Amino acid sequence: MTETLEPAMDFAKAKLVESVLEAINIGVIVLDQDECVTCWNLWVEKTSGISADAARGKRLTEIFPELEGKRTQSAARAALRNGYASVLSQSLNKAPFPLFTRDGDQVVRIQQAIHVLPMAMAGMAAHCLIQIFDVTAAVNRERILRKQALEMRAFSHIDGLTGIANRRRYDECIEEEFRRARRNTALLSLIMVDIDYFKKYNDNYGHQAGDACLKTVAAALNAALHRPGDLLARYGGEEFVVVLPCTSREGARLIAENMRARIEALNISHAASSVVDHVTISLGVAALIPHHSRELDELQVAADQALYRAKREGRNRVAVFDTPTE
Amino acid sequence: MITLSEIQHDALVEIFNISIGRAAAAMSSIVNEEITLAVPTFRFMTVRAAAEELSAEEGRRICGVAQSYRGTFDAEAILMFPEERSLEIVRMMVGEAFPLDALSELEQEAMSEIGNIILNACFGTIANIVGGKFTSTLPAFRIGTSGEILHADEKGADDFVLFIFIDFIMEKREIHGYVAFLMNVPSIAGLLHSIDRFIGKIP
Repeated sequence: MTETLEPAMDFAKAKLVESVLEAINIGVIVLDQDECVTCWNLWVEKTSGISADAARGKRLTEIFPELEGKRTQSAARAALRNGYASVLSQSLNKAPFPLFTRDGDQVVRIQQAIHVLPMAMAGMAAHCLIQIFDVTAAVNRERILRKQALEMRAFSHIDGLTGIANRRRYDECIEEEFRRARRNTALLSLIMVDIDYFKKYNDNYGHQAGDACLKTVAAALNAALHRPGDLLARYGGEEFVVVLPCTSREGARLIAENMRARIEALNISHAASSVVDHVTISLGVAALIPHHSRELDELQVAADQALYRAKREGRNRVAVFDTPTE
Repeated sequence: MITLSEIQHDALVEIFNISIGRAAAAMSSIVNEEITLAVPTFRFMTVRAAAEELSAEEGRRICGVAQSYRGTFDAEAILMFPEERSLEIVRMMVGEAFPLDALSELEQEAMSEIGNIILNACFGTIANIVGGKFTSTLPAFRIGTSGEILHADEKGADDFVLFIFIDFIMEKREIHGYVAFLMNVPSIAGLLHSIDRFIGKIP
């Protein structure tokens, strides 16, 4: 009796497993010892456009030549030969399998997370199970999240009064540019800017006029910068700072001189100034090709010192720090 | 306390570096950028000492990727980095900065893959020495204190870990991490025996 029942039960079980495989919403591929397909479920049929009958018995890399020599192949081998399981994340591998889905009237490649598992079954040669998950929705979700978070961060990096970058943004930017310059052995220039006798301006015209002056000066300084990598930031009070990647000392001096001329041309009345009767700025320039991380401080100190020299020498002028490093 | 002779130690470090070098090559080809992995040293220590070493050195939350291996002996392997270092690694490898203080879902998966590559390479070294067949589980991602990651409370103080130091170097940044292999005492004894046999074979 049992002899006739058992095959029937096995058959029923096999049928059940088969329908589960057809029904589940993930891709299932099973490979044998020779990396040939023994199982190819409906999900894979639909997304690859290749039927199970066409795939069965073929090597995986014969079906998808683009997998040859890639992570999926080595993961399958690690499972078949060593019994190791592997994960292939979407972030690092994007979409290894050419699997597609419809999004409206567009055909898009499915973003994939892949699990490769060894299958050790008693009395059988090693097999390997490849599960493919569609993570397209998660990728889109994180893209939106990243965009929103970046927007929020951009907001926290803007000086509320002048609308230019704030001190925090400057601190992050100068570190980043310093590292980049060091990596590429490139020049990095810095300009420190200070409005001459600004305290007297505030005392004389009031804080509201002082705020308006800061805004106008910031906008004029910003107009002197044209490259996307350049950054003007409010350093604090009436001080500004300019980061100029890949710019020589002479290049930075020219930009600084241009800024000085622009502010003078604004012709904002400043009766209390001891320089002239309108608002002027003093600027300090420093440049270097960084080799050591301590030079970041040195660059900032150098620009500061140059700024003090510009002030000492009568204001409304540009002073350049002479470094032997350039 | 388990101690190894200098020859045993140096030979093992060398073998670890060969297999971790393969892991680095695999990772480099994923991101198209040079990644260097190095094992400067390793130690046998108790689970508790390992947990203390981690929290004493870092004093903060740890990000772990764990995998279990079954076969000739059973072991749990855990790759550990301080949490903010794991953010750095993933974001350097993925090449996109995510402006959050925690790993996103997809980034956790990327970290699991990085752990997966490193752990399989490290375990491959051990499996080679010991011989025999093993199967591994998929990697699991964990965040917590060093004690939580290592299950220091559940394990006895006598349980040993093989504690491997790993340097991860990318874009001239160097990040220090650890791989711990949790094994029971007979497994450790078996491993030590195999190490001796293995070193005996080295000319």
